[in-house]
Amino acid sequence: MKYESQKVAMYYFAGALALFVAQVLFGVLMGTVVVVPNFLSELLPFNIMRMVHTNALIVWLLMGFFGCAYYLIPEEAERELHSTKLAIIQFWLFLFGAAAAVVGYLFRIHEGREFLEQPLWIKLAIVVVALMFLYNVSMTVLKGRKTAITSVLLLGLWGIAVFFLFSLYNPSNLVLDKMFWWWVVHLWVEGVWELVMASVLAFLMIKMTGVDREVVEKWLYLIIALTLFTGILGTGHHYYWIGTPGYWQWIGSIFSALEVFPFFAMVIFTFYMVWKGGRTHPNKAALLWSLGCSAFAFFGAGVWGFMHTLAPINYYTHGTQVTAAHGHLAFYGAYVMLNIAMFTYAMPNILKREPYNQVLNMWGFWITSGGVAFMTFALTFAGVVQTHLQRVMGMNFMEVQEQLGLFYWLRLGAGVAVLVGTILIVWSLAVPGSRQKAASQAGLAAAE
Amino acid sequence: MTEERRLFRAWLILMSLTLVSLLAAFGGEGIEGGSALSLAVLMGTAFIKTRQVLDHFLDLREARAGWRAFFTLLLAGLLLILLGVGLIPTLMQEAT
Amino acid sequence: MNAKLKDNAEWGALSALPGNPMIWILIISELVVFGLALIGFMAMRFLKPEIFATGQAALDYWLGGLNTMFLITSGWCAARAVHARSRDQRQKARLWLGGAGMFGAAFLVVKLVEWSEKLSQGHDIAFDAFFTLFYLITGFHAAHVVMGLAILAIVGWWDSLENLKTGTAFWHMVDLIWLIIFPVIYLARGL
Ligand code: HEM
Ligand SMILES: [Fe+2]
Repeated sequence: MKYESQKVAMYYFAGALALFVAQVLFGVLMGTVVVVPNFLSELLPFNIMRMVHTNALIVWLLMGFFGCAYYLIPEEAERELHSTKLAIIQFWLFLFGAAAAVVGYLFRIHEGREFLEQPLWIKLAIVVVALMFLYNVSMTVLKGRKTAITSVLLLGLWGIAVFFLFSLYNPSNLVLDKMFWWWVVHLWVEGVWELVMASVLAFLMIKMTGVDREVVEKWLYLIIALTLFTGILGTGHHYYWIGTPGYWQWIGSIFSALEVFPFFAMVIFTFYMVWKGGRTHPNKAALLWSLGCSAFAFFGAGVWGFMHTLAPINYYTHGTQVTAAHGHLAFYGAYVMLNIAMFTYAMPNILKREPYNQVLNMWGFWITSGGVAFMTFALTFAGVVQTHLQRVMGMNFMEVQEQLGLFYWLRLGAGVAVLVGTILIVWSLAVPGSRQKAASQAGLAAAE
Repeated sequence: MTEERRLFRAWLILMSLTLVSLLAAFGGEGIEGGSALSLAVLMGTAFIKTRQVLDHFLDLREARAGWRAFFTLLLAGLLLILLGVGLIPTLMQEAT
Repeated sequence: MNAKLKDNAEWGALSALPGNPMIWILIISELVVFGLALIGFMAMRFLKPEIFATGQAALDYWLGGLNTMFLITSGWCAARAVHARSRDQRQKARLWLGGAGMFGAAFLVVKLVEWSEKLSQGHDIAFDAFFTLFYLITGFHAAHVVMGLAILAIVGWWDSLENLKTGTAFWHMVDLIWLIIFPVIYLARGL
């Protein structure tokens, strides 16, 4: 870390980690409801828990991206952040908005569109937060050194804000409603978020492998070209059965099938860079998360996405547990792991510690990743059985659900493992290791 | 051969093969439109034509052997799949 | 950033191809997209032979053939433009590029005539499986022709040899793809 203002990222990392725990906790509660249906049904109905679960996920991932940007951009632009104060105000406003939304949900105040349940005024507050953020980072980049990484990162971050604007548009025509809903949801995770992912991974590769910036930049261009080429028209894979014209089945199938390639390119990129540049960097845990990120994203988004993306297959699997399996592995692999990679890399630098608690952090990696992988398998099996019984045999929904009990118990078990792993990760990042503590105390004593 | 002649020859080959494919499609001396033979001629001429464009217009003939092989495989693979899928109904009809 | 993009030395294998390496990424991607669409076309032709036989019979060979010749000739002009530019004959290069653009525009005119004729017979994109794919594939290709014309105009203006190679590479890709579309959609009719 070279610049004082990079420290402001700590607010965002801390907030993100707290919400990460909350998100997983609510997930475990919901996993319990699925097998014990009346659990908490009066206090916290399932639909409310689901809102908290998904909103906490999105908010902490975004909060993490903000933190990543505040850490990365001064270093790349080679100058202090435009305004640290603005970044701090922005953090509290964002946290307040998120908290207000959750409290509202508990009192059943929401707009009821999945992911976009926030009441209008909170959505507007989020837009303000985004503008404060974009102003701050854009000014920093404009005044400083411009690199491919900052250009792509800014493109992604501006894109996030622009596409969020479509959440304000809520037409009464259900087809249009869904069409534009996907402009937020799909064009985020399979468009502009992917640009953020590619640029942050590129930054981590430059920092940790020592491969030349020129080489990393070429890969970055390749990845984002493939992302935009496939991801934009790939939106069509959500336009199969919502009342949009039939030709979307062709457009969606062809382009979204190719969405595997940018994710594949990221795997080749990260593994090749690490192989070429050597693994001598002391922060082994951050390197593990970076490689894990591209690999899990490839499986979650690429392979599990492809599995049900062709229209003739999606005709049967649409909205089954197959979708849930894919959603979990993709979000975890691409964006959870990306954030944790960056946190693991940046937090020791900000806190001026040597990379610490690496072993604990890596335990967190394996337990959480193992848990999510196992959950994905359980849900995939559930989804395949469900697709067969419900969509092929034509059994009714609740009858089929009864058949899936075993898978749901397995999923709950996996969820508990994920919760344990999450706590390990947060612990390893937040609490200095005993050796570290001893060292810094020794340092203090010597100074006295 | 001068550069201009080479380009002109590529153009000439492309134009003639277009005529050949038109003839193969609506049938003529010894070839029935829609037959397996006609389909094979169509895909074969398409292969030669795309190679002409790649080698002469896109200057791929100067690129490394690896790249030339890559594009050959890509195009030949695609045209063979198209031929294979396209032949199924023809062959089924010819069999009955 | 742009200065760096032009520096092709670090692009690994891609540096060995003429023009900007990014255009080759695009060319390969487009080939794959159109390839998949055409495979889809052939598969549907197998699944719905009657619909496809009627649909393909309604197309005009000769207009399709004429258009193929337009694009071939246009591609030849574009190649001559690069050749001229490489000998520092800038004016001549622009004339050849203009020729390429003219034949490209002629292609579009024929395409519009063809579509409007089909539309006037009530054959729109939702008419049946054949016409959905017909309009999607030819429409998507025609959109590339429009884009290609714009690119030709741009590189005619900023006419460095590198730009010319890059711009015409896109144009040849559009030509190349048509050379596969034409036999599959227009000529490969059922018995
Ligand atoms: C990191 C990237 C990705 C994330 C985070 C992600 C996440 C999700 C989520 C959460 C859903 C469920 C949305 C809902 O209905 O509420 C979903 C649906 C879907 N995703 Fe992804 N996805 C990603 C990438 C991909 C890719 C690359 C593909 C295709 C290759 C894909 C294919 C699909 C399809 C077809 C659906 C609709 C499923 C249905 O019909 O029920 N996704 N995705
Ligand atoms: Fe999607």
